[in-house]
Amino acid sequence: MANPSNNSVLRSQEFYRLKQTIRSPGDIFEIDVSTKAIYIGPDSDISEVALQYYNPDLPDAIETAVVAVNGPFVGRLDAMLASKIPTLNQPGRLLVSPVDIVDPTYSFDLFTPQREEHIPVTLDLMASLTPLPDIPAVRADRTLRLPSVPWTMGRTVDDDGDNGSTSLFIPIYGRRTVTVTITAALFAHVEVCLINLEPGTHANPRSLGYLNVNSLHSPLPDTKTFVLRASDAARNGYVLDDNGDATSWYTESDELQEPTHGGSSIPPVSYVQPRGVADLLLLNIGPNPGDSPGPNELTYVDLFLKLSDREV
Amino acid sequence: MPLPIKINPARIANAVRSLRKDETRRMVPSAQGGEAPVIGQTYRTDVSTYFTEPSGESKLFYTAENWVKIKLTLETAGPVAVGTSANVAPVLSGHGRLLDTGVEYEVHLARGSAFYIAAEAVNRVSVSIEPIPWMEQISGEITSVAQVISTTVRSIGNAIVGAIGELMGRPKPATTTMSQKTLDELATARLPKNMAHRLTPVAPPKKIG
Repeated sequence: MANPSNNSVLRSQEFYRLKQTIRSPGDIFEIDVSTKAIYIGPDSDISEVALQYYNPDLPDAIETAVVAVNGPFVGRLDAMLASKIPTLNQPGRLLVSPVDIVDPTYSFDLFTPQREEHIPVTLDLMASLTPLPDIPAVRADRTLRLPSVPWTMGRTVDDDGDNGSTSLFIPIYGRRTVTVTITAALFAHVEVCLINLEPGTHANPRSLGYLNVNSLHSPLPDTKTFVLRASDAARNGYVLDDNGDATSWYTESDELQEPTHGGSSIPPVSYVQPRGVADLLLLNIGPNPGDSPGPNELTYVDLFLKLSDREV
Repeated sequence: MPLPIKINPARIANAVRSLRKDETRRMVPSAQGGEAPVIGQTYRTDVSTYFTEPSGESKLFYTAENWVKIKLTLETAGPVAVGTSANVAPVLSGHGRLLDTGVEYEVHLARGSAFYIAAEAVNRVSVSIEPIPWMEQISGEITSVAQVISTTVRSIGNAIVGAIGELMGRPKPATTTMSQKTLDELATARLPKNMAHRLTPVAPPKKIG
């Protein structure tokens, strides 16, 4: 089957757009036309891709380049389809693969969810066939509207093996600001974690705490919002001593060491860690911890997320 | 006494008219790149788009049946090599000339020239082929004109010689050969194509007496 990049040339396009859903960590895509510039496109969840192209001056005849949201590749890259790479005996195509790790099978069961859902990860790469005078960062802010996300009330780990919660894994590769709005008709306990994936090992999420959404005047829903910025440290919390006793209160801290806490009288605190960028945002939506079992009943929350590459 | 010189201006006018008839008789379409050359291309401008093949081989792009001006503009990233050598491949070898994206490349092709193209990916090249009819007049058909002029000059010379001979009482020189061919029926030598033609002005004969 002819490579779709050729169709862009035949249709007199000025660019070839490689827009694909990433299905595995090892996805590789092929571009069969020469390009004048390559940059991350507007709809990309992936923030970094690796290019491989034929360079006969190198010992293995293969050169790589990384293209990021703020780092386009400007210059002519030749697709030498009639030339064979000596070390591989393969034609000198352009190969594209994500640098960001995509793992649709990633699972985190500490929250004992009943269901786990991964939002599909999209790669959007623009290959310009003509010279461009300027290439700004063009990845657009992404808006996710997820109405009626279900979770099941009344389930417990002891009785049912899970607590009826729903874990959502949302790709936020390279995003610096994440705005989350949750609307619950009854109530919902939302655990928030950031995950930086690692190759070959299971990445441990960083917990940012939780949010309770409680409708005080049912059936009127309740809505809560929080904003995560990559440069933000924990906004407030207690400074604890070695015994877990609160000694003071801070409004913002860059302290890297995670504070200890203990004792039922001490309320949970936000971990004193800067947010940073992450690959995935984990939202676990479920019952309050310690809720009693009851009849299983589906309930829903509406989610609104806004992902941005800027912090202003 | 006026010399009995006879110059037939109608002969020259007929020669010019026959030249124009040759032009209009050429109704055969011009050959495109890759096709076998067709005798008698029309003087017609061709505008088209050429898509290169990712073969890396040198492909015949155009064969000039007449003098033409070719304008090529690479619309994609390339690299695309063009040249008059049958072997412009490999593309980056330097055997041909690389086209620059968005930059028009113009070249004149003489009659009989072949133009080749090579690429290793699909590319889009806009093509414009314009004829140069006046070059045909100069290079290809001046020999016909020269023939007419030389014949006329020869006639004038023979008439002068004959007139002088008559004055001196000599018999008139024969106007046919032993095989009864007239001067016009004798084949004349064609001048080489690459010779720069220059019309030598015919000096009037010296007045005698």
